[in-house]
Amino acid sequence: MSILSVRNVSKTYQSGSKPLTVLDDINFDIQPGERLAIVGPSGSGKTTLLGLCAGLDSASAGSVVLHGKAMEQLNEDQRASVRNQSVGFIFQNFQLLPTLTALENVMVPLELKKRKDARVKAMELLKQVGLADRATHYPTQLSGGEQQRVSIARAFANEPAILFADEPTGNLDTETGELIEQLIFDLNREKGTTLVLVTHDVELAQKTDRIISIKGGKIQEDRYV
Amino acid sequence: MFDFRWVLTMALREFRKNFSRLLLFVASMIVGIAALVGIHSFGENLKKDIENQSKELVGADLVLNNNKPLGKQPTDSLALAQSNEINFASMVAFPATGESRLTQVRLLEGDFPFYGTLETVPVEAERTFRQGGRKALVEKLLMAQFNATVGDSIKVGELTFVIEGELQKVPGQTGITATVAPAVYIPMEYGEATGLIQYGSRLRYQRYYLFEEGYDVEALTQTYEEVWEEDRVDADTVEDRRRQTGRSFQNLSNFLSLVAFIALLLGSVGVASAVNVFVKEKLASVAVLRCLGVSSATAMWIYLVQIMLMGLFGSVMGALIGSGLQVLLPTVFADFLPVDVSMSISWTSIGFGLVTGMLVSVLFALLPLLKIRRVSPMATLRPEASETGFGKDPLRWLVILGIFAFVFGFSFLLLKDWKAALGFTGFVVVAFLALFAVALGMMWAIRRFLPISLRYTVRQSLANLYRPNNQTVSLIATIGLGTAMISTLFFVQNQLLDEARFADKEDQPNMLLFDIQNHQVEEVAGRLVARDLPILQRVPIVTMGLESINGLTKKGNDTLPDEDRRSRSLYNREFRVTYRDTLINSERLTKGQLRPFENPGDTVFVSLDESYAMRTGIKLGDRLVFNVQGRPLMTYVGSFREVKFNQVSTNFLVLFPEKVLENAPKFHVLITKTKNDRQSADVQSEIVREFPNISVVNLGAIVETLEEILGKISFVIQFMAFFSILTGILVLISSLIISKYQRMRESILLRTLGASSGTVSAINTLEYFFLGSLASLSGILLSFLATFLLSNYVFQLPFRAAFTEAFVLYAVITFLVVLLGWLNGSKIIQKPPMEILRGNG
Repeated sequence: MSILSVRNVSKTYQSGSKPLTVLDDINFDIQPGERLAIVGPSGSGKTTLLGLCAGLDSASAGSVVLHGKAMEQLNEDQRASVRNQSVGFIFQNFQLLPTLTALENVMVPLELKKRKDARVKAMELLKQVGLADRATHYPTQLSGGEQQRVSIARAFANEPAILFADEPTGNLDTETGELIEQLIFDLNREKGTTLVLVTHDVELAQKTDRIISIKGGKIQEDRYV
Repeated sequence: MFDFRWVLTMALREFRKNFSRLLLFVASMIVGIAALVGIHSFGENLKKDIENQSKELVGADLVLNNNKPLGKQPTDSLALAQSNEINFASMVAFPATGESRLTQVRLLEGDFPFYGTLETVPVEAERTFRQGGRKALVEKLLMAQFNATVGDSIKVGELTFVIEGELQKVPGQTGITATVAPAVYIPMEYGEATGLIQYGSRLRYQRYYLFEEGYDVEALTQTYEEVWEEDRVDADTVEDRRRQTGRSFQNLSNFLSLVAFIALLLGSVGVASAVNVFVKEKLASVAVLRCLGVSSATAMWIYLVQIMLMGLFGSVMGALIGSGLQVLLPTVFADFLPVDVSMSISWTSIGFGLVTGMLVSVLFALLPLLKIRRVSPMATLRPEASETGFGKDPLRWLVILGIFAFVFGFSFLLLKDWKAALGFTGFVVVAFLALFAVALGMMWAIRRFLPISLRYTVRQSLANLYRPNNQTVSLIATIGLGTAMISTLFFVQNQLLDEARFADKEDQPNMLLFDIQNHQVEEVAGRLVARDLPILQRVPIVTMGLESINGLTKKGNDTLPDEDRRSRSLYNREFRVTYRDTLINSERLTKGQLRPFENPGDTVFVSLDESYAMRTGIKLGDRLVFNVQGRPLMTYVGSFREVKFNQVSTNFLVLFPEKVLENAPKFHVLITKTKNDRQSADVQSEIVREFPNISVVNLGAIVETLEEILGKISFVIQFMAFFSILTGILVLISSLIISKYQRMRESILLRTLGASSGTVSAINTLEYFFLGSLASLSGILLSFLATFLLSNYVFQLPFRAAFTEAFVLYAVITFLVVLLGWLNGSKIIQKPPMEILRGNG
């Protein structure tokens, strides 16, 4: 059974008095453990597609079934619960909570799952990303690469069935970017997580199992690497 | 599922970083809570002290009083001791300087007060005064006014007394009473010899009783109630006085609490405005939390708990400061207090402050906090998705309704009258709407009408008022309302004093001589004419009581059910009436007409003061039977007059036609106009010397007393308005600090683009100048409106815009805002842009 199933999905926004179709009749399935890259130029609709797949937004038409749950049948709070149980996120601009320390940022998904060992588990993850010694630092006290490593630790904290990453290296220099890519793929392999990656970076996309190219809101190509 | 423990954990984690900022948000609320707790504690303590010192309020267990000699009373034989007093208004003169003034002369016999003491300097004067001889105790205010010292002489009527001591305090008297009518005590045995006890003197006879400890005075007064009622004897017990005083001060304390509540509401607007900025900054974090699986309600609770914690902190701080504020309040209210006020922690007041503070912070913070519920997790990927359609949120209207309900509930708690509470709520809503409307209107006008050709610095500073997250409107509202309160007070006070001072200009009378006996009137008039002074009015006065209204006597009235019964005071009142067939300047006929009395046997038509008739329910055509020195006199109400009481003139509730009272016993008032203060003093001195029973009031004395009383009242109101101003300043400081980082970014950008620090500084200073100007002008505009309404409808004076005073206020407030803004901004400007860019700023 696929972990993510996207059927006839469209997304339309109202732009002034005209409707603007950002995604048009998108269809694909992802199997557990698969690593997929969504690529396309700016404005092609790839981030919108990621948001719909991860249950951050609802489609105007069609169906998104994530980990067995049809997103269009759930309200926002129910989708939040699915995200907490099954989804991990890595963002281009890290999106750490500025008022929490690195350790606390990683603890949040675990605490939401009411895990008693949240602190121990979060510390383990920080060790895995090499930031055990920065556990009590706040995001502003960390470099960009360090912040993204904390973000990766947080994404894997709730042992998600599927991990969504939006341009995870977009805000980093090449050297740091490569380290981060390595970390994502290593952890993904280790935890057996499904990975959906949105990127401009062709080289990064080539490292996945499958690439969906999108342009003008339509899938141009869906191929296995 | 909602996990409160986790919410609390998250709130506390967030709190570490947000504490100082949140503290700023609630700072504006602390002042209001402090004022509320301070005044409430003071009121509670005052209530307790009135209870504890109620006997000292009266100085005796029972006081009987009447406007004729009390004679033998049934209570005389039951009391352990009694003391008699006759008091009346009369001139006293200081022979050393020849100066004189109208005072309250008190002839005392016996050991009054039985509770408390007549506090004097020297202390022993209270005792030696009672040992016989022509000795007087004189109120300290009077001593100070005439530079008199103990041992000097004071002339009361025909007799001269030695000042034995300076009166510091008399049981039950307040500083205000002393200002209006300073007391002079002399022994009763010299009363007759002063020559002041004669027809027309407004004498008040009082008898003070001391009973055995535990004696049931209330039951005693009930036993004789009817007898006394019949004789128009007024009985005042400790319990009565405690109730009256307690009620008056409860009303005062409630009124002041409402004023403090306005300051708190102003602070709350500051809280809402600051939380709004806070929430906008937090939207990104909320979106992340939503992404991680936090429900919308949980996300809102994380921030609401922080606000609640801060609200609690602010309320505790406010309650602590408020409890300390009590130390100041007795000094502020010193002139109004009849008892010594103790200071103690009032837990009721603290609880009241805490609950109010929590409610206010939650209700006002909820308005912006509700936005959090609408944050889409999509905002993590697209920041523009954090814009929420907030206006349509039905919960927002529920919160607004909650705020109104809270304001109503709070005012109802204090006023205990739903109509008054509704009125207050309406007033608050209208005042806030008016301020917001004025603020928005002024901002709109600036945007609309300022020419584009203005210099860059001016345009940029004006544009800054509209920057995202600006708090311009809330600042204008808070500082504006404080300004409006202070300036209205200032303007009204000035207008009243000016009206009194300028009365001189319009050929209005400025001196009034009263208590003139029949045989003295020609001679006194002759003295005035000899000094080339005009006799503007010669007013005969006849005293009488009211026997019945449309046949209903006092006794009959007493048997009526409450809703039909007229006030007893109507029957107990001693009316001082005059007779003439024409109206004077200060009167205007509003209904009916003045009908002269032509022939014996004709009906007598009297004219009543309209507002008095309205108060007592007397209608045109009603039959009034007066008792004139034992003879009944039947009259009908023929007309109503509107009487202006703000002129130096004699004004009467009841006016008779001529040819009715000519033969009744009477005394006279003469009204004249002196050319200057010197002449006033000379005339007053001569009249008091030659005719000691005649009292003289001149405009100068009235203005002086008015100034003093207004000064005392306005000090209290200014003290209360100070809280609003302070709240406004705190909102300003917090908004300056909140916008500090935004200002830094703007400053860097401008300086990177080549602007000198002078240009940046000029932009900032101008921005504060505009902000201060808008705030103070909004307040002044509102105060002009309030003064106009008060002048027209309350004081009935022509409105005169006080532009000079308004300009001074405008300049002071604007300067204050510019100064605070400059102090906040100067450090930013001095730092090199790179330092700020690197984040070391």
